Amino acid sequence: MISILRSNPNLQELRLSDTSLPNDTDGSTSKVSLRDLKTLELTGEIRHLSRLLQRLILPPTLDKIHLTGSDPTMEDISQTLAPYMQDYFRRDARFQTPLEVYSSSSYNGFIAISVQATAPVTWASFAVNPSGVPPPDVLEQFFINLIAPIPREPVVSFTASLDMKLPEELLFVMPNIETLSIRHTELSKGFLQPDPDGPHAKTKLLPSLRSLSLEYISLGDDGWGHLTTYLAHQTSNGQIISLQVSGDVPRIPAEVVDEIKDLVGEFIY
Amino acid sequence: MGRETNIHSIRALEKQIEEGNGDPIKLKRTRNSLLNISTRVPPEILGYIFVWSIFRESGLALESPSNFSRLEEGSYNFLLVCHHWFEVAFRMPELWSFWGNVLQDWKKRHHRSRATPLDLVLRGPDDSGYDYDGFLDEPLRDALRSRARQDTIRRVHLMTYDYDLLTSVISSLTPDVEGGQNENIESIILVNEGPAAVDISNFFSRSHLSRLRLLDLGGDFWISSWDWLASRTTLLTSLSLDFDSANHHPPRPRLK
Repeated sequence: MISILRSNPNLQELRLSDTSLPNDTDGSTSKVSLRDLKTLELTGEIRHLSRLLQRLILPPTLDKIHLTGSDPTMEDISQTLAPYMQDYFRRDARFQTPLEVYSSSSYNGFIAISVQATAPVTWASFAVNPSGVPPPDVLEQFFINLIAPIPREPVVSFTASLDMKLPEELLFVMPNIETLSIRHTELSKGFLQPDPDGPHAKTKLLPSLRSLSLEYISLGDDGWGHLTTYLAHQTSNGQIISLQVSGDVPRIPAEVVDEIKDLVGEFIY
Repeated sequence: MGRETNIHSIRALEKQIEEGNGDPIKLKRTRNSLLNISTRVPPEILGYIFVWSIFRESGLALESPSNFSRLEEGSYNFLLVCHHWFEVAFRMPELWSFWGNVLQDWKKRHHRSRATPLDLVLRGPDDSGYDYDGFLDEPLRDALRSRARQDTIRRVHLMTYDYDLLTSVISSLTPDVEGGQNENIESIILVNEGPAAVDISNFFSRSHLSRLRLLDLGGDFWISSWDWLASRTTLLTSLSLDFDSANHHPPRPRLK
């Protein structure tokens, strides 16, 4: 594969997956320059993917990069994939402009993160696909390690469709989120609030929030109470936010609707 | 001819037709030619309008190499409008570079122009069998072989579930011996949606492919060696290899 890339230095789009990724059995480390590349999409075993990345000399910026590594260990993510992405984000000034982040995870451990700079538009996506189903704490750590390389200050919009609780750390490190969309989650105690016994207990999370969207949510022990508690806390200093509840959700009782309307600037249900 | 004169002439001809004064067919033909503003449009422009009407309005943008769209029903009906249009279309090679994207359309169009660079596109049938439209008959097979021999194929975009059909099309395009055939192919997109691996070894090992810019292989294929790709291609701008890892019969060698 390396020789094919070397013969074609004008490649602008390169998409390789699974068995088409080189396995480097020859141990060679010679590099290949693809200075015109605009789109890079690699999917496959994370070690093969990482080795190929190390051998490619790419332009400082791409229009689109999409990396999906299968069978990752924690070290693969924290020591290879995350540093590569961090370096990539650092090189491209577009990732210092307002960013939209989309994250998803599924029950089988697949986690995907997409980062979009809106002006001008560019995409960076990276995902991992574990071979088995890792325990929840490992999955959460995978997720945190994957989120870590994203520039934090520029993130203004965050969408989470996760098969896990949204890590508190994430909300703490991205203080400029104005739009938050959460899908497929359960409204439980401490919803979007810091752990009272944790390191951010006295911190107000999401201080810039203007819009909250909830889709396909289920209710925990206190019904809609966890949402109204959060809204009361979030708007206590006069902050105005809008709330949208959509998708397949339990019915909101009329008195709760009235209570929410008193707390938010706009309520779409 | 000024607009007023034109209208007067048309009215006079209509009056003659109404009164039965003269050969009605000739009178109508004359009137229609006066109504037809296209006779005053340069043939080159009219030809490009025809190309646009087929490839743009049908969603078949020629510059989009991954396009598998089909021809709309009656796309070529403009050929029946008048002799002038037919003549203009006949001299517009771009109009004949596409046979359609289903076998029935190939069968209708493969004989129309043999020298025009051909965009060979096939989409389907899929696994439902709903759009199944037969097999590659001998005249079509001969037409493909002839195209490959004459090096008049520009694009090969094939996506189907039908193993036999895909195999016979690729086999018809495969040179008998290794050499300079298929030198003018600029893009190849092969997507095998079927359950069995299609052997593309001979096609790639025997084709020259020095002008190949885009290569996109998806699904399940068998290829004995990839050496040809490194040794014969230098102009690739897009390379996409996405193999179905579920089927490996015979086992596919890993790239090195």
